[in-house]
Amino acid sequence: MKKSLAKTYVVVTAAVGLLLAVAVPAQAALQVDITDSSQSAIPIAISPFGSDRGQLPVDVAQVASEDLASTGLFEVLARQNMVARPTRADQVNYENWRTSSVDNLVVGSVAPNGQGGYRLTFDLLDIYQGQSIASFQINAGRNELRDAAHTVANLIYEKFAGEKGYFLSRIGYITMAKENGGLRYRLIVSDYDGKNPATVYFSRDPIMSPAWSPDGSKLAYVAFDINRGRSSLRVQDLATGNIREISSREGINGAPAWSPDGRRLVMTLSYRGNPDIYSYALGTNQLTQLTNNGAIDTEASWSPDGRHIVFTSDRGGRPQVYRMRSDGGQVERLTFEGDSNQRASYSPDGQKITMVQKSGNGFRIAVMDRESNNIRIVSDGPLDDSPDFAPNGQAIIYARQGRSNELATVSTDGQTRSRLSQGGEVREPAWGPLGY
Amino acid sequence: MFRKLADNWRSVLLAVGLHLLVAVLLVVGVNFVSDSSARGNHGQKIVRASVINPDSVSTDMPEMPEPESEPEPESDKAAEQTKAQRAAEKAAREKAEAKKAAEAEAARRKAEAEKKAEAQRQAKAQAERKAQAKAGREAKKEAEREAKEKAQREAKKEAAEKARREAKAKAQAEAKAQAAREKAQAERQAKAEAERKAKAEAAAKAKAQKEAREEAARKKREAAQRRAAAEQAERESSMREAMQREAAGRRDAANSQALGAYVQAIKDKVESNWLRPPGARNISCKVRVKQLPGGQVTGFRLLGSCGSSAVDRSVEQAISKSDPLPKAPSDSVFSPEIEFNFEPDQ
Amino acid sequence: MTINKRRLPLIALLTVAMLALAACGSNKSLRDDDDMPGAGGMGSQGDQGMGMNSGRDIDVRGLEGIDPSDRDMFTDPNNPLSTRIVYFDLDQSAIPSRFSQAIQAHGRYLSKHPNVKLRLEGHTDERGTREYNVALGERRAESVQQAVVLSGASDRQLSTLSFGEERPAELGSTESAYSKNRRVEFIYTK
Repeated sequence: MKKSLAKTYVVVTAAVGLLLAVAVPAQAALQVDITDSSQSAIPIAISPFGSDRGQLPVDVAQVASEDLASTGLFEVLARQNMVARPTRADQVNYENWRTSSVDNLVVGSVAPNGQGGYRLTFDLLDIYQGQSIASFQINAGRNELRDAAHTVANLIYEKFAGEKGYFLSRIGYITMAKENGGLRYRLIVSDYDGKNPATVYFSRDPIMSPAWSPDGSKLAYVAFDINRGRSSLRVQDLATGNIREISSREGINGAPAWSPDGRRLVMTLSYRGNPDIYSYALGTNQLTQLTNNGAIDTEASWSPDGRHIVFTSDRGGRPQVYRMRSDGGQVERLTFEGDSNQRASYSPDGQKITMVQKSGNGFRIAVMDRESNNIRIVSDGPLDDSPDFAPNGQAIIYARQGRSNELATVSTDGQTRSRLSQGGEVREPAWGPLGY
Repeated sequence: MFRKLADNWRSVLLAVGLHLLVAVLLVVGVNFVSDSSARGNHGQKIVRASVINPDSVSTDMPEMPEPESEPEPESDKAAEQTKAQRAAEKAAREKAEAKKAAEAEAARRKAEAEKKAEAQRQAKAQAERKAQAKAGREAKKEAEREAKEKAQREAKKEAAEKARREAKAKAQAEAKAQAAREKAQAERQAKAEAERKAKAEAAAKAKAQKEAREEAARKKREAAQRRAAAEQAERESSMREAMQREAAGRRDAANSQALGAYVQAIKDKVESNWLRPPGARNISCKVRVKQLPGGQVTGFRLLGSCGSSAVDRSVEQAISKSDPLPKAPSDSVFSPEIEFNFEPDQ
Repeated sequence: MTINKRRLPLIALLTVAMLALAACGSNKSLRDDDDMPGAGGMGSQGDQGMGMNSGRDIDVRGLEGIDPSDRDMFTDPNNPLSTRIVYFDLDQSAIPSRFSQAIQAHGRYLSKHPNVKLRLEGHTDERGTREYNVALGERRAESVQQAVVLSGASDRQLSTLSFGEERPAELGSTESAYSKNRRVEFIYTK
């Protein structure tokens, strides 16, 4: 009796088990965990923009291509390798473009806007999905075609990176050259890529430490006057050329940096006997001393939330980076690696600090993550100086000295490097705001 | 599920309505920076109010000359001379007046034009301000809508997640229980078998022993023969069972090995095609992909946002670039639906 | 970044060698500078390797505040007053003892000529960040200022101005150039 019941039981369970073994995969989805991604750049092609007026004064597609390629985030197809040169979405044969390993295609055209300027229209197409991701239209004045091309790059960059592009931003830097039997120092402002340089101030005596106001309308900097035997820290309005002298006291007047609201300057003064950091209110002309000790305190820089100031101090022996509250209280040391750490400044989101670190290999640019306190070296040295974050925090510009003298940019993760070539000795780059 | 819908009919309506709105917007197309120079924070540097040249403003009709008021005397030489003189004077006067009038006219025109231009500048500035405020409000509204949508998607995602987890756990538990039951059953069987055999043996043995005195040798031989036979049968059956288990085990191993390799192949292909935006943090999302047995992707959808629209796009491109997916090694391993879980280590 | 312990002896050896070279280097350039004024003509400036502060500049600018009748003293190589550049070791603002005699001479001169003003211009080599180097140059200038005051000058006759690394005496990234750039120059102003 028991035996036959057990037998039936076995047969039934076997049958059910078999059914389940066959049925289960058809009902539950296969699980695949994606935990990594490719390190490659995004393949994109920008087809030459169409124009019914013949050749335009600016090759929009070329300018935008160079912008995107310089970030290292994009792999831009060279024009001679394009299978076709469409200017409208309906001219695109997606199958052909897929064979070129191009994931994304930009097609556009430029037309007069009836007011002496231009209207640019363009589409961003996804080659694999075979459709348009977005369409844009830009209006520009007669002399603004290059800016419009940069705006094309900004819009595309933002779609893929999720950050604003910096292609309309400007940089300031200082050059020194021999001219007319003497020396000429120049403070120059140019596009972020070095194009369209314009001299903002020049002198036979050294110029130092350019610093952009947060709205990009002014530059603070230091100019020496050897005849007077003084240095002068001033603020110059870029539109009017108006110069407002902030401090020309005995001793050091140096290292200006702006507060995030543009209302205060922090600076180094030594007129009271020792280099210390002071805060200056541009509205009231009030000067407040923030550090007060016998060591060198200099190279102050504000945090983007306005609550802290990082600075260089050798109160511990060698120069290191310290941080204090913006009223001067609660000083704490931030750096403990390398021989010395100097000239710190924050990224726009406040998450990172860049600085110059000296080690056995010389002076190199370092990036410190504020959360993890990890430090990553992003340049080769041996004499790198003056790092400054791009206004979207994705890159750092700095100066190389020694055998090669040039300005260079590196992506914040250290992967992509590019060079801006300048004539003569060049130093102290400062990266202005986004420009839009 | 439908009761839940009925309970929350308001949110369902809102969700559907928002999705429709978004769909409409997408269909109509994003016109990012319109041609009106008054609108747009994009290209603010580029887009400036342009001043219309006052010289190009259309002019008014010129003034009519003043009508004659002086009567002309009868023809007389002197009178004619005077007439001519007066005419000349009048002409000169008229000329002067016309000149004055023209000057005044020009001045008036200029003033008007300037006023007009000024008014236009102001109107344009005002329109700019208005439009910027409007754009700001719209952006705010858009942000609010997006936030609401996102919250709802999140909630939906969580609910779906939860249900899936529970279903998965349930299925897993069932399968486990099933396997355990089977195993126990097989064990019980073997055990019962062995017990029965042992019992039979013992009974036969006892019987033989009872009759052993009368037919000792023959019975002994018979018992021994029976014993030997029983042992042989047992050996054979247990050998059969062992062989069966081995065969089943080999099949399972081959299946799970093939499955593992298949999943790895899919993972490798999608990961090598995924171009992640740099600096994107806290990426976490699931994608449902439908495929044919040859690996061709027939459709996919994101179950909720991966963190930002840039990351969403990168995930979609990773899937579409990986089409066709690696072919499944066997029918038993193939699944028409794959669920990708994008959760990279930072 | 921590220094590899195994490399420590090598680093120490190199540092000692550097300092030795620097010391040798500074002595040499001191003598060179003294030779310069005699040989100087109009066109000697502007060679590669020479910065804007060749010996000629310190004589043109550096003696403007000295009465012409006294200038011979400041250019006579046998007179300690002719030493008008103090050189420093790497990262140091302490005055090497070989300059003590010269500093005393300048202090005495200033105490005898209360209307003469001396500006001490501080410099560094190009290593390190620029603004920190301005502060380091000032530290050196103040160090000399203290010493000169101790030797008789009055505070109000003295001032300092630091250029950091902005006005090297010699261009280049060699130890020789570096040792010539770590200096304080005596500029007698009107």
